[in-house]
Amino acid sequence: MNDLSKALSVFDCAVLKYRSSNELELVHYNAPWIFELFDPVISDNLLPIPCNSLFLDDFIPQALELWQESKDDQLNSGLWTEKLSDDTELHLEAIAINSDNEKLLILHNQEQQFIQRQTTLQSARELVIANEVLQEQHVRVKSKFEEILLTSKSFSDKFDALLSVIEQAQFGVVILDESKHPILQNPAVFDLFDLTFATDSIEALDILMDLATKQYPEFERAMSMRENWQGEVLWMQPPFNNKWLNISIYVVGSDKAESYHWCLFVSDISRLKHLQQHNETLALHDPLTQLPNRQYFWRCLERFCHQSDLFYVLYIDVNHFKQVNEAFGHKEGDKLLRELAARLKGTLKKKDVMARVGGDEFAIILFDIDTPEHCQKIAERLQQTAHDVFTTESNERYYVSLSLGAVSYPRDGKNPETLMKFADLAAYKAKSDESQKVELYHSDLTQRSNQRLTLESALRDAIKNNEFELVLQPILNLTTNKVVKAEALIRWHHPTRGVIMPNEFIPLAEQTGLIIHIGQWVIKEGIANVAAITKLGHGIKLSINLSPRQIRDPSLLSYVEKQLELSNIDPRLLEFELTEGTIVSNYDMVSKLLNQFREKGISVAIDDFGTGYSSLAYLKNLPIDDLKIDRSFVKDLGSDENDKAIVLAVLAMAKQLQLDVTAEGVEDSSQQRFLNQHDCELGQGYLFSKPITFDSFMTYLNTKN
Amino acid sequence: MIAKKVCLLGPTGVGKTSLVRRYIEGLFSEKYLTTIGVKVDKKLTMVGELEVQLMIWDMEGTDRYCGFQSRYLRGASAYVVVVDQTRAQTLVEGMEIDNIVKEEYDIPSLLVINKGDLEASWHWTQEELEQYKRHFDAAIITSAKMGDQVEEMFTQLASLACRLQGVD
Repeated sequence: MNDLSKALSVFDCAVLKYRSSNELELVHYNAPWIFELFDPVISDNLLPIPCNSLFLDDFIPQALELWQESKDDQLNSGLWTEKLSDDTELHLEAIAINSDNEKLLILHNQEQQFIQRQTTLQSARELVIANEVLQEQHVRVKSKFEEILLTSKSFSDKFDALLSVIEQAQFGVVILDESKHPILQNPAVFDLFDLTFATDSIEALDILMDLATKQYPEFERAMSMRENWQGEVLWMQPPFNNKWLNISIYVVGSDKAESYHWCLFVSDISRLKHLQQHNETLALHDPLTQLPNRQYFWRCLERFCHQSDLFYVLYIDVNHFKQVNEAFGHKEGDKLLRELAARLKGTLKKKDVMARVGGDEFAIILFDIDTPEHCQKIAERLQQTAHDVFTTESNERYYVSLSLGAVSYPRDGKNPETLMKFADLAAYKAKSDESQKVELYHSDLTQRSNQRLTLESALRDAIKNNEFELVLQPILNLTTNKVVKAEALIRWHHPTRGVIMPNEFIPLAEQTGLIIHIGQWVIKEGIANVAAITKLGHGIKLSINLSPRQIRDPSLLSYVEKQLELSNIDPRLLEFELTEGTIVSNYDMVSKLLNQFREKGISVAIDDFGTGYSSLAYLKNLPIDDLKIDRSFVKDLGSDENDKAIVLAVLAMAKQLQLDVTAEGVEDSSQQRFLNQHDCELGQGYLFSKPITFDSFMTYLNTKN
Repeated sequence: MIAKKVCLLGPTGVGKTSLVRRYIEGLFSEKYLTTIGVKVDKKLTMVGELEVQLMIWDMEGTDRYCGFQSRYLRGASAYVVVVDQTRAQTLVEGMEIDNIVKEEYDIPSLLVINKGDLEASWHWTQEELEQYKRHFDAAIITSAKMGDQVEEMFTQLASLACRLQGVD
């Protein structure tokens, strides 16, 4: 034991040996605190159980259980604090050991470990709490804004209510209209920059926009997409002023194009940054994923941009992260980010730099890549890793995918701003096409992004200038060849470009929320068409497409009801078409809405059936009347056995569930014959008629029926 | 006299240590000092005619740096989940802790909503709060800073801890 004593003398610890359930033998100690814990001692080296330490008295029975066992094992108590008689504190840890018939209890003074842990965690926890408080303040004010802005009060009533919220806010607030002009702001925004408050001044706002644009290359794109955004910017006013500001921008309002607002919140987070700087690890480190953070990544990019080595920057966005948070809670969302970060990191080389650069965004600097193909290969590997199943704590399984954008240094950009901006743009492009593994940046993307902005602006004008037209495509009974229905389709008569088809502008309208306004126009015009057709003596049902965003619009049902009331048409002459994707992603909401439609007598069709989930469950449970077989299956009916099988399966399923079936894209008589032979009742396509104007439709109708 | 082990659980920064300090020493400090590991204090209290030595386990707050360790509850007669009414997230996390404890232990529990001297800034409606409270045997709003309801909280805890012995 002598050698052991010598070895142990470097530790501030005591070693005790089990003698009986009420005695321990003191084998080694090098500080007197042990006698405070076991006072009074039985004899020189015999210590009593129970002792003076409440914690140890709780731990020793567990140690006794361990010592009764025959196998070698050990039990660690974890850190605890013991107050001594002179009011000093000891920070101890106990380890019970059962090894080779030795039953030992080691008490170890963990002063150093305690101090280190406390120093690190003190600032980390202050940061977490301060951030949490800040976020909650933002959320609270934001929800008050939503409450006020979404009511149908008069503007002056809204204004007064907003003013009272703003005055109480403990941080800077600016409310902007859709053209980003401030309509309301509080003095706190001006105080941040030592400016004099004036209700109509845009001075503070200009500084904020400028800081965000310069320090976050992806900011402009996020704004143009009307996305919520959050970031931390550094404002410097030499020689003395230097502030870290947290800017949060939320879009508040209905999805209608002309009735939304931007709410901009600014908080001075210099104290938090100061806390972070106390601890270099925290300043450049993301505590959730244990990866480097945005600041660290930026520093690396700056450094590498001064060197001649080629590299790629990958920008990664986690698709549907919000849904994971909503479905399983934020704790699972955090778990996903941690697990995903570890998986992605595991596929990279040691030299590569990976960081968490936003809420659900990661960025990677890839070295030793010579070609875009090589970069693509790595991106595919990352995508594959992400595709493996994730499991929640309650054992629910789910999957995620990534949107990856890649940019090459120095080919695509020579500084961090350009590289990050382009990588974000490429990731955004990849997001719009989830089948895409990775989008490599090319100059077209910038051009397209600019074109997109121009198109968005033109689309806004189109609503005002009434540049849309509704055309109708007849749907025929395949046996009688009579027109029984029509599908309403929209066309945009652009003043300089001519006719623009919906596939070009509807996705944009959907992203920007303009779809609500456009969709309402289609519903109104469609119902007017039904009224006109009825007046001319025909009972033809009109089918109108609804997009996911329209479905989420809380005013949709009341709008339809109002239009039905105004037109006085029979609601049974109205049908709405939804895609399978819309149903699956908003199941509860869609189910409620469709039942309300059915109560009114409006029917529902599933569009593009077969291309999505094709789930029997929703077909059975939802009030659906018609399935529209996607044109891609109809196209090769004559030659493709698989397509034939799919169409036959859909027809059989529909028959079972007593649903009507419409075949889309019928182009030749052999397709019609096949469909007819297999009891597909309805069809639409160029074989009968392309989409035509209302007048042409009436002529067609009169000829056919 | 009987001894009862009780544990104070909850997210970081909700005021567990402040509640204990107020109860044992009658003191409060504005300065936040994070707890590392565990600290055990004791205080004698009365439950009816019975003298009860409360052994109060003040445990490190649960957060991303320190997971919840249920083994410390071994031998406990009751536990408290402390939350902070100025941070909505603490109630969510508090409920998670409560769920973990209930999976392993069948002992009485008390929900303590601390920082009662500050304006409640969470968005829970009264109805939602009542629903959360129903998961516990009792609930109380305290302020360690002002000393409001702190004594009552520990008395209630002591009586919950003695419930299994038919006291109270």
